[in-house]
Amino acid sequence: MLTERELQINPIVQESVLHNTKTLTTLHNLTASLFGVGAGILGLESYLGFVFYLIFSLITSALVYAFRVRPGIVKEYFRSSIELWTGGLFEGLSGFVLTWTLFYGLVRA
Amino acid sequence: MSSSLSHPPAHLPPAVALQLSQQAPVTLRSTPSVISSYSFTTLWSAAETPELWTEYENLMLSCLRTGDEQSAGVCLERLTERFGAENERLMALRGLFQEAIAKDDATLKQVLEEYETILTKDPSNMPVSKRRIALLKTLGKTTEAITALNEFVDSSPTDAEAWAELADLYVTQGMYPQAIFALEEVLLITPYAWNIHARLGEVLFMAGSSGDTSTDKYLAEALRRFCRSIELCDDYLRGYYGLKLTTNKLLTSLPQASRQSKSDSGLPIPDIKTVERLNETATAKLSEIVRRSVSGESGWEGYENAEVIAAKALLDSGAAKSIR
Amino acid sequence: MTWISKSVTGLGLLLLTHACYSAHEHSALHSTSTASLSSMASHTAVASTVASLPIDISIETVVAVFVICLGLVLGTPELRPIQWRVWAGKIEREGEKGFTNSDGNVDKDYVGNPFRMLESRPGFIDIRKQRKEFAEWVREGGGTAGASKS
Repeated sequence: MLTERELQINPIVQESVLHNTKTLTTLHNLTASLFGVGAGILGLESYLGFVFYLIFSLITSALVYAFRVRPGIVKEYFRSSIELWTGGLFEGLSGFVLTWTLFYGLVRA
Repeated sequence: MSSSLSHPPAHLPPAVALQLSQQAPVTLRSTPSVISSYSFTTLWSAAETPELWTEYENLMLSCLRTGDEQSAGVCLERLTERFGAENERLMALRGLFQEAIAKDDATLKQVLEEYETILTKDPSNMPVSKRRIALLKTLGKTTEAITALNEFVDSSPTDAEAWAELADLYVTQGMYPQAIFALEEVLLITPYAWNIHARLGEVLFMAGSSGDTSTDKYLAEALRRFCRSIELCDDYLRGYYGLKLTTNKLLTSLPQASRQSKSDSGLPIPDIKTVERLNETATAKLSEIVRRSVSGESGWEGYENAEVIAAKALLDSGAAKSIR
Repeated sequence: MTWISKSVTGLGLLLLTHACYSAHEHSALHSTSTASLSSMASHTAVASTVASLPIDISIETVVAVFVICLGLVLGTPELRPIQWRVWAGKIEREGEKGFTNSDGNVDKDYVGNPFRMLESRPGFIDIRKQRKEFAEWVREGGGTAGASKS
């Protein structure tokens, strides 16, 4: 973690942090409901559905890493790489469950 | 286009200001004149945004600059309709409008008196007191302006803008120590402002090259300020430019001065090797910036032309000297 | 960039809709065909019909989800550097061009160098001097040069 002194020398731009987090959260919210649709169509049940969500969330993060963060310099855009890989994972979960159950019901009805 | 309208237009080049003010009638027609609150028409008309009023203000400034007083008047009218004539900021804007259209110094003095009557009624009116100081400066009464500004920063010591203005006034009077103090105050309020670090470096450099006492101390301090501005901002042309100038000067003066400086208090003067290396770095970086900016590489178009030309001239003169 | 993202997302949505429709038809068909055996239909039988989604529909779904995901990622705005010196350097180096969104407009919240106003100082603006400078600029033929440039 950065110490106070280092932060004074190399400050962090708060607006950019907000912008990046917002971008990532919006993306994860959107894709989470999309994964719900996918899981519903596939008819996944219980743990399998959550595994599906986890895998695709990681794929999204990987895509962001590949296209938006130039590889190798996560530190330039996020305070830690954990922020990139797990950010928005839990916010999207409710949206995922919502569309998952909806499409499961629609397709199997 | 609207992007440049949402920022204060004072630093824009004249061509952009002209373009903005030429489009003023169109802009004025397309934006709603009156935003009525709580009525059915608000459902259809464009929503009121805070940016709209900033745009009006900036448009007015651009129009005044180019001499389009009619459009500026319309802007002022609409702002007054929205915020009322008693709004502090609007009082200052109206004063500005009157300053701009004034024909001679007598009219300007009238405006000044008006400011003073407003200020006697309400001494805490910050925008108007700023206008008063600016008008004093326009009228050429710089010392009075400095006195007024000193009173102003006494009452509101966290106003970075006022401190910066004070520093500039001191520089015009050649009072460098005071200017340096004022700029340091600005840096206390905004510690990461890289352009102010560079500005402080420039003032220190000027102080170092004009006075004959403690030149090296000023130059060393200027060196540190330029280094900090570069530390805060990669590829900062102004910072590197100042760094190169300062190191050039230090390299000529250091060899003689190195003996007597030891008794000096405060931070030590950097040794000659460091200065040499900094000079080399600045030269390399400046030539890189000039090269890339002149060839118009993508991602390097943000520099101002005049600055790049100045940097090129500095590099060329340095090269000529080394050949000789 | 933006049309790529939009077309990729559109393609993915098309695929997903098709997959959804196929899955629905499949399950509907399956339930009618097994209806004849409904007298003996037990819970396990129903469960087996659910699990047996044809492999092509499964693949189509997964591919569709992936493609939409790709499109959405391509459509996100550029991230901004959070380290002060990198961010400030970007502002100085690229100017407004560094902060355009995918449509080519400058971002709404772009402010440029936030400390620039400490040097332009809108509160202390000397309007008469600016007018004079502008008039001189016009007299020197700056107006025609500016017009021909733009």
